[in-house]
Amino acid sequence: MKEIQEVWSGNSDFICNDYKNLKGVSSEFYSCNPKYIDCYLRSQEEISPIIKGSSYIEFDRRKNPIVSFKMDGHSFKIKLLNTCSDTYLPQRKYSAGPKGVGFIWDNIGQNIFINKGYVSNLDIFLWNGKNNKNLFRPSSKLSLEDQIQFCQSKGKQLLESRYFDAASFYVGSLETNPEYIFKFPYPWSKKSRLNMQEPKSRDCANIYSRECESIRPYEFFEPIATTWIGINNSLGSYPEIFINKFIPRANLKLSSFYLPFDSKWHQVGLRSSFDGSNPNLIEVYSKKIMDRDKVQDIGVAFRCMLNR
Amino acid sequence: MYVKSLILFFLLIISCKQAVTTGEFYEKTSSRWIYASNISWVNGHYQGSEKILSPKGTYQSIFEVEFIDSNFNKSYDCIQFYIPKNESDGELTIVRNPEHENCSRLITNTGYAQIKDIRNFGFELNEDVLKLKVDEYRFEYKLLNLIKESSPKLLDSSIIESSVSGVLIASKVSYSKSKPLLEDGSICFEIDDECNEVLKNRCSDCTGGFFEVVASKCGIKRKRICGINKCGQKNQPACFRGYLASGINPANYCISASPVGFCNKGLNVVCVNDILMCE
Repeated sequence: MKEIQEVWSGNSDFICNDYKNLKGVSSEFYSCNPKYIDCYLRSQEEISPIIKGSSYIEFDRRKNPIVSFKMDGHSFKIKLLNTCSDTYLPQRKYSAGPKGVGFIWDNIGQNIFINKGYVSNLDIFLWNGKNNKNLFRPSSKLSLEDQIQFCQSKGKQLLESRYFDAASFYVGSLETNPEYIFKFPYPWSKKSRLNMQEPKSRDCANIYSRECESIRPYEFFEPIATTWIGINNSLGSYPEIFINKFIPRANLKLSSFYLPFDSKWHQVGLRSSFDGSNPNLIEVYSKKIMDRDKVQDIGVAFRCMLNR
Repeated sequence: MYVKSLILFFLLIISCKQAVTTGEFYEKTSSRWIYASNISWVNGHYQGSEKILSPKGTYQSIFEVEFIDSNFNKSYDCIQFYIPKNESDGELTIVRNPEHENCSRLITNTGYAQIKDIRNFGFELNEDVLKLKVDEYRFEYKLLNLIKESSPKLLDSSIIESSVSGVLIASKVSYSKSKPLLEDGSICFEIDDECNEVLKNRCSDCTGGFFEVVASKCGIKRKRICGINKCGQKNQPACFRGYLASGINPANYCISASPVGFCNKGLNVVCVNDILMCE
């Protein structure tokens, strides 16, 4: 049981043959991954599956994996707990929107957990059984309705924009009721602007922008642009959709690898609008931001939040 | 001298007998509870009690242990205690509960493990260690499978905490077939103005998540309803801004244009039947 837990938590040297030649995927992909644990169990000769179809895995109604196998004549079931996918947003006062905009709110009394990374094709495959390809990629072609339904199936909601802002803005202290809420544009620094010359490898670990593909390869599931609470991809990478309760049409994080490093969209709190098809590059918050990049066939990622 | 030695010998015999009894008690209980997954209080009065003192001279069900037995079936034990009264000593009895009845119904059943002649009984549950305190004896149970709620902190995951990332569960239950219990629109948690729970929290049983509505003067928790959060839209509950952020006393939340809630642009916050709504 201990070894199963180690493989599940990503603390094992085990390498599954099915994934041996997989390139461009961070080791994070293998943690809390039901298909990977199934691969591990299949490689163990002394234990045999008891589920029909020779699989070791069944799922409870929330799609949490339950490993079932026989050993020494006994049937075992172990429920594996997904401690990898989300992280807690501390209870305090926050401000939504970019610098200069102040939608003040608080989450006192709410135990909010936010997915650390994007919902992946693997998550969607385990949900609806369709499309077993590129499981390590973010799910970026799902309709808004399906995104909402997926989160619901987990007992969650599609992530709200204000919670993403709260998770992304750099905070100086954990004070519950700060007198003033600073809004620095980057999640990892108090700097108000970046050196906007050609990005280097370390810049691409913060904002994976258009130029980065030729500087360092994009690794799926890699923890980049990590914020103070531990969510990833706060800037750069994929455009991401949210529910915005303050300004409903300001629902898209446009900062992504579709835009160059010097784009002004690479700042915490900035939102564009997404109607389910092409993003409309309007200035939602500030007339000063003028970015006319043409973005075609955009893939939009998403994540879920849980109020426990 | 001879009488003194006899008394000493007699006391030694009693002490040895008690030690054997407690040894057997621990052996029997610890082998059954090694995969305990839950401890529930039959009588909330005793939750967190370090010592069980009253009502004297009565049999009480203290708590119940849920565990996976050696055949990997879900099983239950009731911990019953006769609380000592002046002349009569206490008795700690562990009773099997195969039908998972309320433990208080099994108060007269014969137990599989028992300690008699007790003057003091208490217990502690810290993290994943259960400690039973019987007079001068201490029985410690390391419950690795125990799942418990705790106050989350920075960098915690949403999993209700367990000391390990996998827990052994009963092998003869089909977990994939158990159906969600609460459909969208069901109230899954309700609280009154004094923060008393009118309806116990069952929101983890909602088919698809839940949302909160501001519907009482309780400043800590709010009513919860299963379903998609449509707050802020016309004729839907107002979104919750928070009491800290709005600077409003929870007792005064129910007013027109209450800053405790907010709505989409063009809509106003109103208080209808004690609920903040958007119109």
